[in-house]
Amino acid sequence: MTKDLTFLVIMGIAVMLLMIVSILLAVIFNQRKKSQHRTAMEKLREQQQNQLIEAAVRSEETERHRIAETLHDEVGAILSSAKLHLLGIKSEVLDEKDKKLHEKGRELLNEVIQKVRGISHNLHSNILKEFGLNEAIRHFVKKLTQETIINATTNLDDNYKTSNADDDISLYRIVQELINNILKYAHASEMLISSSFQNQVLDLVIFHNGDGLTQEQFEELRYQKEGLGLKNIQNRIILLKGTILFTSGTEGYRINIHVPVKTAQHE
Amino acid sequence: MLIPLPFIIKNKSLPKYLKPIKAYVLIALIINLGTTVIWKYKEPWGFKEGDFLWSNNFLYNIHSVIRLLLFSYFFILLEQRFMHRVKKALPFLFLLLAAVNFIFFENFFDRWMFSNRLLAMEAAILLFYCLQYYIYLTIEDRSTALVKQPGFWIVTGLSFFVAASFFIFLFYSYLTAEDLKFAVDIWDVHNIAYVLLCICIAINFKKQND
Repeated sequence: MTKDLTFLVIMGIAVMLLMIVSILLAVIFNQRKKSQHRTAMEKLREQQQNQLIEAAVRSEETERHRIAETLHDEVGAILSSAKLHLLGIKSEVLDEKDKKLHEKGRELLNEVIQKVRGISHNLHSNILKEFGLNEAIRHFVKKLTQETIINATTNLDDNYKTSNADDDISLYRIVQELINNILKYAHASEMLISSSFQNQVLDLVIFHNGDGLTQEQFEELRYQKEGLGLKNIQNRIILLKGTILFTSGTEGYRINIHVPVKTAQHE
Repeated sequence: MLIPLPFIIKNKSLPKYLKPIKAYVLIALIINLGTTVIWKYKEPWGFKEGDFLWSNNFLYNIHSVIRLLLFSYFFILLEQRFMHRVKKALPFLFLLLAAVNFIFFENFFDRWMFSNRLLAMEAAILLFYCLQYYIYLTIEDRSTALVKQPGFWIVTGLSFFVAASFFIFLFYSYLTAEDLKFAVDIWDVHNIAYVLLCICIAINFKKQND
């Protein structure tokens, strides 16, 4: 009887402890499985989000090209034809008043042709494709300096060579959007666009002495409807798997774009 | 109970569910101290058989009731939306059964033996609480790391304690009658499991501090 009782107690304790250990192991295993599943789901969600962003960015780019081509080939051609027709009018036979009107018409037409060409070039990424990111940025900044009172300079690292044309388009659009924002809102008189390329990482810095954005403002504005440009910037940054940082100092505002450069996928 | 004490004193802002455990540690420390003092000094202080403080068994009974009530409250405060009504009803059921037991069958202040029925019932109910805690962790959608789950270390320590102690409590009066030496030896298993519970409580409070 005593032996049976002691055996029962020992076995009882052993079975209970074994049960607790088994349950604990089952819970640990289950939790690990859930965690793996969640990680996989998050990865999938991120992948889907990136695909959506990529599709949006690509379609935007395609649309830009379409509009640029239409402007250049159709509107540009009609405007050139209109100019030819206008030039065909013999100004000697016109009286003084009509001569002035003819002259003014010609000036306005030239201006429109220039504008349309400018918009078309802005929308199109021909320079980017032919001469690379650095040259496209230099060209864009040079054009700005001619049109505005801002003193913009570039100091770009020529060690950077295009390896992925699509990524370069995204980078170029980011720079374009940021510079346009600086021109519109910052009231800056000085601007410097510089870059450095090291260990397959491209660091682009836009510095200006106007009223810029802080990181908090950027985070806040990019979710607002009016902040469409900022949202586009963020989307492209996500697509490039890079980071963007807005900082300010005593001398001015700085925007740092940090992008790991991928090797070419398709040319 | 001295093991978790420094971590409990150090932590000022505790989440609500840890407050019953803090209370338990402090009360258990006093009760265990009382148990040891009575056991050690009953003879030097001249207590005789029949004196109230000659036996410390009633302190085991009090400890059991307080442990169940405070740990039940701890499980209720964890706010796991699972068997919520059962969890709330169990302490009342325990008190009812304990009252019936002590009114009709046993003496709460028995000089010779603590109530093994009371302690076994307490262990069974606490085991149920621990099992439902683990079941909830398995079925819930969140996948937070186990060690970061509120109260995980306390429940794990308690699971081992009640699993190791249930059969000891259940048969202890029979064991003392049949084989006193084995009964004394097997009580060490209970003591080791209790130390493990204290370590787990200390870990939980330490993690909370971090």
